[in-house]
This record gives sequence, structure tokens and C-alpha cells, in this order.
Amino acid sequence: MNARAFDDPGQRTALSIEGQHIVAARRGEPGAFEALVRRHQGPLYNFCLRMLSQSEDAADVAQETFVQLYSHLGRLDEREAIAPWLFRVARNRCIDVIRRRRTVPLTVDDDSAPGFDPADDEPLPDELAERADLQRLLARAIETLPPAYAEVVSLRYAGDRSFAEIAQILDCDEGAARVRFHRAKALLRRQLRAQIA
Amino acid sequence: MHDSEFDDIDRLFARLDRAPVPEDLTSRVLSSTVARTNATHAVLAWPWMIACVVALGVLTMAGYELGVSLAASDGLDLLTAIFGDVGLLTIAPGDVLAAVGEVVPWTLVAAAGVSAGLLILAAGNVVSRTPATLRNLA
Repeated sequence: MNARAFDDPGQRTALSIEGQHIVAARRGEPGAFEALVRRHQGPLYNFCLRMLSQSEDAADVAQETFVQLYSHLGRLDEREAIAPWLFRVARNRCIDVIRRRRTVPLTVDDDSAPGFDPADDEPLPDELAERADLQRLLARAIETLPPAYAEVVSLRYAGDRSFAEIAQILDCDEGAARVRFHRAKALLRRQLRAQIA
Repeated sequence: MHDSEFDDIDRLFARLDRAPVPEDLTSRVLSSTVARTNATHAVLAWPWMIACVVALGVLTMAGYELGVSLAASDGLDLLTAIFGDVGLLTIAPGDVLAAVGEVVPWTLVAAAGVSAGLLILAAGNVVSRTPATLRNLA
């Protein structure tokens, strides 16, 4: 994401709308950077919120992420989507916040998570979906995940990211991202079953 | 959600509410990025604005003094004669240039030229450092 190669005005038509906003924001055109912020702030804020469980912290991290985007505009490649870059920055900042809050391991070995049985595929009870406090249950289930699983679940369910993007954000291959997500889902299933028991 | 293989967990979490973004998030971001940059640029534009005014003043003074000097000497008559009969330049260019060299106050011409150059440079910097929003209003 570093090669800046936009010098030919004729190339602008080939750029995505987002790419055109990046080029315009570099030139200081009014509204261009704001358009970028408005385009990404919803998924990014929700990802931060699920990671941190506090709206103030989530808003702060989202703000810091966009400020960093602004200072890096000149180094971004306008031909590439900026979402993976944004979520990677936000994820790192969320980890910093979590580290300041408590001391827990933030990474997992996808091949050998101790005391963890991934073979938990029993379907959840149907009545779970009818629970009035469903939102609280779902949020609570994500909160109780270890951070390394919470981030992949948050990226997927709150940030609306594809596995390819999640792999980019987590700096791993797509298969590893899918494996981690599968394990996280098994944990979620277990958490939800425990909550309604 | 872009990939297939939905199961009960996926369906359940598809119902997870998206929290509304805080109303002031966009304005907070913009005030610490675009607005700050614009303010910095606006501050940097002030010295160039002053230079602009000074250059304009020097240019005006130099132009006035140049006119007075030419009027006091035979300069205006000479220039009128040259512009009235441009053929003089081809018939006796050396004599014309020598005559012009004698009557024109070159110090004032140089001052006017330098101030004109400074005026162009300063005006360009003022425009480039003015926030785009203000430029569009103008």
C-alpha cells in the first residue's frame, strides 16, 4: 500500500470513487476527506465498539485511526481499498487500549489453543433468537471471547469484512483467518449456550 | 458478510445491531485533521499577504516616481516619439537605445521590476495557502 503512482490525470477516471476521494483529499479539495470518513466510520466504529465494549474508547480509537489516515494520505495507493489499512490500524490501537486495561495474552496459536475443543457444532436452541435481550446476549458473548477471537468475530460481524480482508488486516493467510473464525464461532456457541442455560 | 456457509451462529449474529456512530465523530475527526491543516495554512499565508501589500506599495511608489522622473526629463517626449514612429528602432537602433539609456531612471525601473516579481510570487503563495473552502467561496 505504499507505491504512490498517480500522476496522470487521465488515470483518475479508472480509479474507484474511494480512490478519487483519496486523490482529492491530498489536494485539499473540500469534502473529500469527509467523504472517506463517512464511508468507513460506521463499520470501523462498530468494530472498535465490539473490541472495546465502551463507546467512548471506541470513538476515540476510530478518531485516532482517521487522524492517522489523514497523515498517511500521501503514502497510500489510491488504487487499493483503504479498509484493510484502516481496520489494521484500528485493531492495533484497540489492542493497545486492551493492554492498558488488563494483562491477558492477545494472540493465539490457531493449531493448539489449550483446553479448547473446536468440535462444538450442536445447533443452538431456536428460542435463543426470540430472546428480548438478544442484543445484550450477543454483545456479552463477544466480550467474553479472548481478544484474538473477539477481533476476528468483530471484524466479521461488526466490521462486515470478508475473509480476504480479515486475512489482510490480521496479516495472515485467508485459511488461517477462516480457522480462527471457526474456532471463535465454536466458543461463541458455547458461551451462548451457557448464558441461556 | 460476503462469504457463504451460513450457520445458526451467523444467522444469529446477522441480527446484531449496528451501533449508531456518535454524532460528533465526523466533526471531531475533521477538526483535528482538515480544519487544523487549513488553520496552519492560513497562518502561513499571513506573511505572504504582508509581502503582497508591501510589494504593491513599492510598485506603486516606483511607478509614480518613474512617471515623475520621465516627465521632468525629456523621457516622455522621447518615448512618445519612439512609439509614434517605431521605424526609428530599425533605422538607428543604437542611437535610440543610447537616448533611452540616458533618460530612463534605471534604479526606479529595477525597483518596479523587483516589486512586480515579488507581488506575483506573494499573490501565488497567498492563493495556494488559502484553504480550498475559502477559495471556492471567492
